[in-house]
Amino acid sequence: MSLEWTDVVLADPFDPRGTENAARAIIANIYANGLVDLQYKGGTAKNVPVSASYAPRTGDVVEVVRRNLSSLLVLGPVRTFNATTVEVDSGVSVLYNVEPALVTSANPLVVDPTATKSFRGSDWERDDVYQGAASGATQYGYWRGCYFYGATPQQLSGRRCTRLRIRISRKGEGGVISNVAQYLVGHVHEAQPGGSPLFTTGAHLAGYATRNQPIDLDLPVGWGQALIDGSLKGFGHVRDTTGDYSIAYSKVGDAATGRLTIDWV
Amino acid sequence: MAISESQLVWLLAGDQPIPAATLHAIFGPGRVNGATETVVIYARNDHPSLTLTAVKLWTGQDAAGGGFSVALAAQPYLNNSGSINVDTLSYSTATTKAAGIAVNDVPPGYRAAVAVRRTLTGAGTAYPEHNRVILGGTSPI
Repeated sequence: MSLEWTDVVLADPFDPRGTENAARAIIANIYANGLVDLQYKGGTAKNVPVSASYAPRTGDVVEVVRRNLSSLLVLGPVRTFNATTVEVDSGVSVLYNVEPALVTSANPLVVDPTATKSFRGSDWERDDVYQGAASGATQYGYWRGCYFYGATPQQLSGRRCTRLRIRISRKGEGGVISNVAQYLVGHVHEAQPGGSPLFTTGAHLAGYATRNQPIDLDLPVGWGQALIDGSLKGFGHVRDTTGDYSIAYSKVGDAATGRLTIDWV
Repeated sequence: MAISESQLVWLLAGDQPIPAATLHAIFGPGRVNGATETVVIYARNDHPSLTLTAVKLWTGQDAAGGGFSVALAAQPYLNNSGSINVDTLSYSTATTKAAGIAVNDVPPGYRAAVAVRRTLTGAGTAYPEHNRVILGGTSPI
């Protein structure tokens, strides 16, 4: 049903003699400052404020109250019909992780260290990879020789490690002459940290290494998986004895020192 | 009383409820460039007497989802029976109700079947990707 404004305007809200304190009017004009002009029976009213809860539209039939003899306030629109239906929406969240794509890396994946360094006392002192300490030098502390690999092993993310080996490439000099037990631990550094290395596994006796005879020693498969998953980033030596004193080549001395061979499926 | 939002109940196959915002309730984790997967879910009208009319189906897309997409397909409502061939449906990625897929009216107690398809080709990694499936319509008061 359409309404003529004369049908709905009941009183002249400007009439100071009027007895009505409320009236109907039509929105005739809207200003940017929030005021409106009203058209009502017998005339117009300009610059009338509007209730904050109502967004005026030109042509709306509105209820107007008289706050005093000369001040008006538009309360809001007058409903001209009641809806018989209502909109109803219902949604469901669809959440899931999107993991990186699987890579087609070589199998086994061979990863040479990006750097090697040995820590003793409070400093990173040598590029060669040391284990233990020389007799008569323990007052300086025991070496923590480390291999760093960057994030390369993580390119296998999503794969399962089936075997992990590390190459120990002892130098032709230094350390105990005979076969030396090689104790490896996992650390969490992609590159040499500023301070002492943080090892997060226990020491694992991987095997024995002789001077100038590089050898690939098996490490726990779980460590290989941790490398792939990123919870381990590399390996080092922790062995606080002089009997297992060992020095392996730095990356500069042998590019394949500390080489990881990761078998995966 | 009109149909309320809570009376449009989302279900997995077998009438298992989909907990609100539960991770992996509909799809499991996927991989970038992984296979396309389709899962059929249902929106059941639990109002005792009123029919939902002018029904539309649309999506809320994760803006950070890269090339990811969720598509929908509507089938005539099912009442605990019937089957859907998800390979023959027409999918849409409409993100507004106005552009959504028109669905048959859903009488009280009936279920609208919704095929949700995710395509991971070209997607970016996300933890998690967050999309929505929305069904809406008109209810008598």
